[in-house]
Amino acid sequence: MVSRDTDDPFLKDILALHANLLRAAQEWGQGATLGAEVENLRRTALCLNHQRYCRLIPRYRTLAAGQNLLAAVDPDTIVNELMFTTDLFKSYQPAWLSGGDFVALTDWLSSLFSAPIAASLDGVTDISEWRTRLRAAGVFVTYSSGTSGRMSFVPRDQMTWNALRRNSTAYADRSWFAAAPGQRPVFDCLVAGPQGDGTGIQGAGAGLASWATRSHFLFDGAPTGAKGPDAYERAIAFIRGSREAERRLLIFGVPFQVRRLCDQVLARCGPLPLASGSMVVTGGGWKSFAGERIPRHQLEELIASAFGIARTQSVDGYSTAELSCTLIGCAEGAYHVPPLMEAVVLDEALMGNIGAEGTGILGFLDPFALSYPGFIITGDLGKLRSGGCGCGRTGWFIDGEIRRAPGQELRGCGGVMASVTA
Amino acid sequence: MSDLARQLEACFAAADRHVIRVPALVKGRLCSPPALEPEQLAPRSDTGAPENASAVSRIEGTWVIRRPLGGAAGEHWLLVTPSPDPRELIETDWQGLARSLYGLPFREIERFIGAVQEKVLSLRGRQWPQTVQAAASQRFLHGQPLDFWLDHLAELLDPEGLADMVDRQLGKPWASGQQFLDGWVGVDATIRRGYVARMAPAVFGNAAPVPRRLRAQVRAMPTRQLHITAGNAPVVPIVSFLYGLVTKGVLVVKSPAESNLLATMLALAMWATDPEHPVTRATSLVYWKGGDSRYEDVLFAPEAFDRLVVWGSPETVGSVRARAPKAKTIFLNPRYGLSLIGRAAFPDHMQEVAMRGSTDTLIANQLACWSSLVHYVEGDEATALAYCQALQQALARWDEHAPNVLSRATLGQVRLLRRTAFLEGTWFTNGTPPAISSAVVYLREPFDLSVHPTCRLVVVRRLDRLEQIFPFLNSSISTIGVYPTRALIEVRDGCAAAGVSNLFPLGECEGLFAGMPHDGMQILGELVNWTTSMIDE
Repeated sequence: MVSRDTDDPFLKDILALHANLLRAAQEWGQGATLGAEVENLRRTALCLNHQRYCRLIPRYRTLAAGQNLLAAVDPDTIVNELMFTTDLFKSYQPAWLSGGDFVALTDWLSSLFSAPIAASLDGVTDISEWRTRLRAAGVFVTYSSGTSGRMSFVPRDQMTWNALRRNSTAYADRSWFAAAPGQRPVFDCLVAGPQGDGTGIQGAGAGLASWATRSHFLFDGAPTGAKGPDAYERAIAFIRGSREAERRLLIFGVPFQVRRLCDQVLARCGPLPLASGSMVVTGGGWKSFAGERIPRHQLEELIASAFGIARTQSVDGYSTAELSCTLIGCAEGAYHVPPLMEAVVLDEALMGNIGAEGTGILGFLDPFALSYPGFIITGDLGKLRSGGCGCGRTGWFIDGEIRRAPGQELRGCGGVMASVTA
Repeated sequence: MSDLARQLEACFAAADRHVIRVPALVKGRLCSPPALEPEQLAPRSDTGAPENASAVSRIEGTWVIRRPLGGAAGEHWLLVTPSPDPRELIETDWQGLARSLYGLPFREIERFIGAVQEKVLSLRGRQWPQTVQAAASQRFLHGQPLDFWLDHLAELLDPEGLADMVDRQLGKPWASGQQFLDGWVGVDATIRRGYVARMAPAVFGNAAPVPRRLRAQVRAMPTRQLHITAGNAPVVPIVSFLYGLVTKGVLVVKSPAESNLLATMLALAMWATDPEHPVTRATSLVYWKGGDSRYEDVLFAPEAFDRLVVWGSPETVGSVRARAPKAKTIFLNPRYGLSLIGRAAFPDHMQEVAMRGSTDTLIANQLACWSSLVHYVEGDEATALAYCQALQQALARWDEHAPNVLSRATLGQVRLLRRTAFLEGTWFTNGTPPAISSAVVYLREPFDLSVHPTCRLVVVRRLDRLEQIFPFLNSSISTIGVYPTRALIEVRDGCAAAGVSNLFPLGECEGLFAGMPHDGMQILGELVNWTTSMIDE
């Protein structure tokens, strides 16, 4: 089990701030315009997290100590000196993974985690078993293959894991998740993907499915033998069941899987209108399926033609494996940042300011990341703005498309061609 | 004012609006870009790129190279250069070439080079407006003033040195390289008659042709060359051009965006020397954005060129290999340098080795293949850390003498390293944070060198024994500077066996001589067609 440091003087205050932020997020989700006091709450939580990370997370402590920043700092100092890229979660030696050295991998993971990881690793030979053992020790590891091909591993403790599963529902349309005491909310959920919780997107799908009256995973592992077509037939039957029960349906998946689902539905049975109030939610981007990428408006048209829903009922979300909540896309082409986290925009020198608008590299500071450094620089570019949006939401939002930042190109007679140890 | 000075001034006529317009040289003809207004050259503002990012775009048939101004976000210097038709760059008149350029005596090439050198030197000492100096040096000339590059260009255009290079790389004991370039050179060798020819009497009897007494001759025949050059060191396009020039090649040299201004100076000097000279008429100095299929589909087509010379990244090399599989191509991959300092240096020679190590680091501001990126120190950790401090001080002296202004993107790379691969390192920085000017990082563990930002940053690693460097060696290492000389002699065979090309005393890694091999090759020998003829004695 994780031997949690009992000397954790900041946790109580941070959790109190979390509760306030969740309440604010609910209000924001219902259309309220939040005041500066919510920003202050969030930034206070971030500064307390900094002090807590310094005490509990070795890699973060090393970074802060190297710059004499172990004491309390202001939010701009965090933005400019203490944010990590998502590469932090891939900073293990690839040989440990390929060679099955899960002891070394666990030691590395401990350096990112808020407590020493004391898991029994005897006989562990694959990632699945490793995650199971860590889970038994109170460490919930999600992974992502990303676009680089190297897997990233994000270690969450129980509190941070709960935040991941809960936070995005805090500001979602409450009608979806409201239920009478002792009853489940009334909606069906179709996850256009496999069942699991290993990746962030799988975890989000599993989380949504857990709230639903009925749920179904497109790739549900049903023992009918055949793959592909049978899976789509079962999904179509599930959709028809929701329609017959006049229960609204939430379809969730990554864009390429939703696109394939739409294509299959149209090819097999033509338009399949959903019950009134149904929604299609995508997230996770196209990543290695970029070859199937179509513009957002085309995907919305495809969804509308397959399921007969208005384009406003088709929503794209943006998040990363390291964050505890999702930005909500809207029909105006913006991605709205929930008040649960702070978005910043950085220039090429990775400099920026809390509360500043601009175009550049997107970064997020997640106060709910208790068990790993939650000050994250993404590999994405966007334009950060604040104010009102045509969709009615207020606050911070990414205006327009979010794109991958170009990698550094190596050019010249001087340079290093490939990965080489020195 | 000379034509050349007028042309160069015209490039900077719109400098007050942060626009530099440079011509391209296309077979001796100067092609100027259209006079577009800065507003027409502005990049789209909704691209989502950071507002101070560098970029290249093609607007109205013109290449626009954008570099951040360094001040307010969104302001840029623009270098504008024409986008000539790639088909114009290809030469197909072999017979004409044989009569003109290929038949030119090498001494005329030498004379022409000398005349161009004089033109370049004539531009020195001009009083350029401050805006021009600032733009040219900080954004397009790697931080050095115009006169620095004019001096450097003139130094490279050294007729005698280039003639020596030809003689060393193409020459044989019985004839000079120039002789091989200028005509057919006899070979004092016994010619063995062919097997079938020897069978002929058995087939034709007395009617068979009588064996002839033949004499062998060899010629270094010039070629049509496409040089795709890289941008880290501004002299790379010039050096590549000179390789081609001294082999009497028909040349198309693609400059990288970072070095286009220097190539323009060369183009203007050649044009001003003699636009009708066979060398000028056989030279095209141009720019296009690497990977642009409108250019590369045409220029990489079979038979468009006899030789391709490619400097660049794995992506560039891979792209050329895939798109021009049949072309005879010389790949000059990115390489790097190291320093190796034996324990004999400490403590008495600490300052000396720090100065020598910093000198090898500063070669082309750490962007050349000879520049040292990692210093290996033989000794304990305290010695290594003391060396780091001495090296930090030596770099600070260089910073004072030749200020190092990192681009925002490079600064971002360094700042990121502090949080990622070099997180566990001990840092020694110069400059005022966050704008560091140079840095030394002591790393206790091996690291992935591909993250090195090559911007006046040295990684120091510790060895118990010098021989422990061997596992870290590979054929991507161009040069190692070693201290002391005894250690150099001890390790050089092992280093050379691992594929290292140059083994020099510490602090002398930029040393070269005319005709020195490059990347383990005699390049000039690769750029000519070694052609054989046999004639009656």
